[in-house]
Amino acid sequence: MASEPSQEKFTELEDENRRLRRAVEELSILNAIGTAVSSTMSLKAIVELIVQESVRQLKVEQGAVMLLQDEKDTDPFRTMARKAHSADSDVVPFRFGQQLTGWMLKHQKPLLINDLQEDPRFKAVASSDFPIRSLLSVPLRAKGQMVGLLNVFNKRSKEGFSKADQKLLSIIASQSAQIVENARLYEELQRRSHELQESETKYRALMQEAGEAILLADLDTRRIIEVNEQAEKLTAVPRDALRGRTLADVVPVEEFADAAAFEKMQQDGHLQYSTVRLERRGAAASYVDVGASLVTYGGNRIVQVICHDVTEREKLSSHLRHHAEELEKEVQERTRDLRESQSQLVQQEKMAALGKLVAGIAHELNTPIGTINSNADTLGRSLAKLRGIITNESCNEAIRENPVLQHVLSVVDDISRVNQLASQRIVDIVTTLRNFARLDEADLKIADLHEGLESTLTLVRHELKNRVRVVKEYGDIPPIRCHPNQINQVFMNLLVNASQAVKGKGEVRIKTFREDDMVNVQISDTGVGIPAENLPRIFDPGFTTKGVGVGTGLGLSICFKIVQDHRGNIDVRTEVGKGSTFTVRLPVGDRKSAGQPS
Amino acid sequence: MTDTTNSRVPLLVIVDDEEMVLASLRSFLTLETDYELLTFDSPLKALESIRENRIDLVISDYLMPEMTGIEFLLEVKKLQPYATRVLLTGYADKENAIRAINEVNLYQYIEKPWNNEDLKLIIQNGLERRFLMADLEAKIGEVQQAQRSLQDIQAQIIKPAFPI
Repeated sequence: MASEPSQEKFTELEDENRRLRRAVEELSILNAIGTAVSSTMSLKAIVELIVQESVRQLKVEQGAVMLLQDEKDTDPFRTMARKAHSADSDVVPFRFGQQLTGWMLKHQKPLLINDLQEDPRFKAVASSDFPIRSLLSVPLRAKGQMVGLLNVFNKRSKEGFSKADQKLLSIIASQSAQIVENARLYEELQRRSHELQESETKYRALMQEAGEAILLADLDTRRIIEVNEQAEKLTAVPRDALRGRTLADVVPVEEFADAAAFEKMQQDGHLQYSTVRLERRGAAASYVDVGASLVTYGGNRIVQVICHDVTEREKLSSHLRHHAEELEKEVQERTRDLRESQSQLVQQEKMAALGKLVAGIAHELNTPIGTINSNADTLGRSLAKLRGIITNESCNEAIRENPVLQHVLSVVDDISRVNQLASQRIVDIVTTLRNFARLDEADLKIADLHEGLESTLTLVRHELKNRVRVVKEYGDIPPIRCHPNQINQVFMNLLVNASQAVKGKGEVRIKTFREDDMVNVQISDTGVGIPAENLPRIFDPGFTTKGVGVGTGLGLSICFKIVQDHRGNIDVRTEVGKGSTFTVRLPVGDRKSAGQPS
Repeated sequence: MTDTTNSRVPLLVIVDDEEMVLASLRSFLTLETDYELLTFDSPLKALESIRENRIDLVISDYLMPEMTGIEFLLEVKKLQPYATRVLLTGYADKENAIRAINEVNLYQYIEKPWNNEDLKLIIQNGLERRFLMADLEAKIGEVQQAQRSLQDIQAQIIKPAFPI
């Protein structure tokens, strides 16, 4: 009887003792875990400690912590630690079936199963290597988020897991989840930091070994922080001297000196590429393609400028440009030459056609005008004889003194004289035409042009009179092979034209000089000049401004043909009111062959 | 002049297919000279006459329907080599002139329209040349004749010297 209360007491005490012991155990777990928090234990060590304590406290065969992982393509959980209940028993790895993890992920609440083999939900989980009889799984939560699972398997006693076990494991889980998460975050941070360091090291190595010149500058100050070896070579400035200088100072890109452009770069992340010329002390300037972009380096946003040396390309392109310009020039010259030779050809064709026409006309006119001219002359002679007879003393006085006969004779005399003058003019014109049509007649000779000019001047003296002063500037020119009569005709035409161009008093200047292989004869006047509208036609046959009876309109076209036949050229510079200058250029030719006419 | 070297009146032949040329030349030469003139508008008719008469000078046109002036003068040269040959042409062609001078042994080449005074001078000189040539020919003949006589005499003198 007495034992009953003591028995009761004992039971109470025992219960109390068990509760206390449980509390101590819980406290010791919390203590152990708390120690881990303050220590610098790694995530793995912390997880192992949690698993170890769980296995020990809950008296199970195995325990494990699984953490949720970010990678989506593998299992949602990664097993971080697995522990058997004693050090000498093997930890048999097994797959904590996806049905279970899936269930936990979905429900996120403790799961207690004591007869797994019988549970229809998880039948397939049982592994032959490690037959699971019972399990207890609780979620690890940090700040309300599930971060993993704390699992224990196979209670060593036969009774299986109790609600108390579940409560204990839940306490352990709730206490350790934040610590695990913190450790995980810390490790993640460490890993990231390490990765960053690695990438920085890699970047630095890349930058230094890069084939292109790279300059790094602070985004705000735009001053250079770092450069690579290529940048030193490119700028011909050592690294230490480059550091601290402003970017625009080293690489003359307009945008580098422009704050607005920099702001725009901050938005776009890059600058347009442009080619700039780099002046280098003690070396030839170089050309670089410059590109700038924003990069993160050592955690800071900085400007990365890459300079691609394109000096060779620029040289080539400048060479090509130069070449293209040369070609363009040559094309223009050729075009001008072609145009000139085309107009010369046209002129030549005109001359040839005109030559044929003139020859035909001259031939047709020769006979009738020859006859008329001869008859006019004969008539004059006849009249002279007749008058001689009539005026002779021996003649009958009635006839000699007959006034009507005298009158008729003087009329016929006048007519005859006029006929002779008129026919002579036609003869002159026909002769001119004929000379124009066959300019190749006389033989080639070696002639001194100064002699030709002098004799021509003698012939045109009546035209010059005292009105026109002739200034001679004879230079040193060699005798040339030519048809002297034809060349003299050219001088004659030009001198007569020059003299006629001078109204009133004036000057005609004759200048001769040698230029390369050409002898130049310039005949300038201080006359009226040639109006622009007439200029294209002055060498055309039949074009005259002198008026009917003064010019044939053939003078300059004859000059043109003669000079052309001598393989020379003739041109004119003129200014209305100031005068004209005609320049005749004749080739010096080969003096040796000139001695022997071909 | 005509009477200085030769007493007979010079005979001239003029050929041109244009009657007006013949007429004006006839007018001028009749007025200014006392030459005897034969004018033809056809070279063939002219050749017939030249075969019959001894002529001193011939003036021919170049371009004619029957033959050219050069062909004609070539015939004249065969018939009467001492007659002076003159080409009077309106055909402006140097090539033919050179050919004429070389082939026909032309004395002078005159272009139409001609100058009467120049023509008269050319004719006078041409005739003088023709008569001088004839005189020369005659003198050469005389000299040759004399030489032959001398050779005969020489032969007669030398022959007795070698009688055997």
